[in-house]
This record gives sequence, structure tokens and C-alpha cells, in this order.
Amino acid sequence: MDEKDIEKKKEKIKKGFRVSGLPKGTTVIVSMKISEDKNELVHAEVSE
Amino acid sequence: MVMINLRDVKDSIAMWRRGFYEFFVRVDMTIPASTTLTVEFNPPIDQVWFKEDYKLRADALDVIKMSYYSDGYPVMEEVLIGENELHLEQLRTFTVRSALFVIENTDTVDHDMGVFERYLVIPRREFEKILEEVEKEV
Repeated sequence: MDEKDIEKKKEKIKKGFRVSGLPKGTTVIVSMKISEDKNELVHAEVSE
Repeated sequence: MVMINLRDVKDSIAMWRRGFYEFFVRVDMTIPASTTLTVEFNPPIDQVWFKEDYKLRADALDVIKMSYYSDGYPVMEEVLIGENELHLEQLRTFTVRSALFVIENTDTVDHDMGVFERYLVIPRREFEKILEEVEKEV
């Protein structure tokens, strides 16, 4: 997977990820697997 | 060491009806082709979550694999989603620190997935009191 491919995938994940109803103060962290031992952060939020 | 059964704890909560409230959560996501996502939910520090019901929807069959870990313990591992709508009512867990989902799209095209959950939230101090009471009874 090259850099361009990774960025494209991350953008799709970020665009498609929707969460609702979580209690206030919940932390949500979305990561994508890049290789066997590496995950890359795509999105993080604290519900309000 | 005293072993505590999840059912005992849940029965205790139901019995005393102390300060818990119910939440309905919906998560929608797109998983690009040949991609593995990790989604981690961390409850606020003063809460404990009890998952009551879990419904999962996928737009294609036998292409999405899912694992679920509650507080680091595996609840299900690499389960291939083989039904469009999967009810996992038996998936009753409690989460003190983190609920972690690993979702893999094994297909060569993108797929969408949706999750609907119903769970109870209880203040952590109440949860600790209940644990103490359950321990005394065991």
C-alpha cells in the first residue's frame, strides 16, 4: 500500500464513520491497519 | 479469589435499580476494500457499561470479519458476518475500560456496515458497591 492509497482509504473511512447516542465524554478512536504491527489513527472524538 | 459471574452482577443491578440508565447507540461505517479497521470506545472514567443487545448489519455476506474485545478479553474473534442482519443478544458483556472492535473487509470492493447497540450505563461507584455486595453473597 503506497502513501496515496493509504490517504485515500483514510479519507473514505473518515467520511463513512458516523456514531450517535454515546454517553457524553466517551472517547472514540478509529485506526486503520497499515502493516502487521502498525496501525494509523484515522479519527478520534469525544462525544458531547 | 472470588469469581464473579456477570449474571450475578446484572441481577443485582436489576434488583436494586440503582442509578443506571439506558443508551441506544448507532455506528455506521465504510470499510474500504482489503482494509482492517480498529474502533475503540472508552467509557468516561466514572461509568461502567453493560451491553444488553447488539444488532449488526452488513451490505454483503461472508466478506466482513469481526472481532470484539471487552477490557482486553476476547468476546468474539474473526467471526465472518454471514447474515445481513445479525442479532447478538447473547453478547452480554460489561466494559470498564474499553470496548475494541477489529473489522476486516476481505473483499476487493468497499462495504458498509451498521451497528445498533442497547446498553446500560451505571456510575462506577455504584458498580463497585454492587460488586462488593455480590462478593459477600457468593
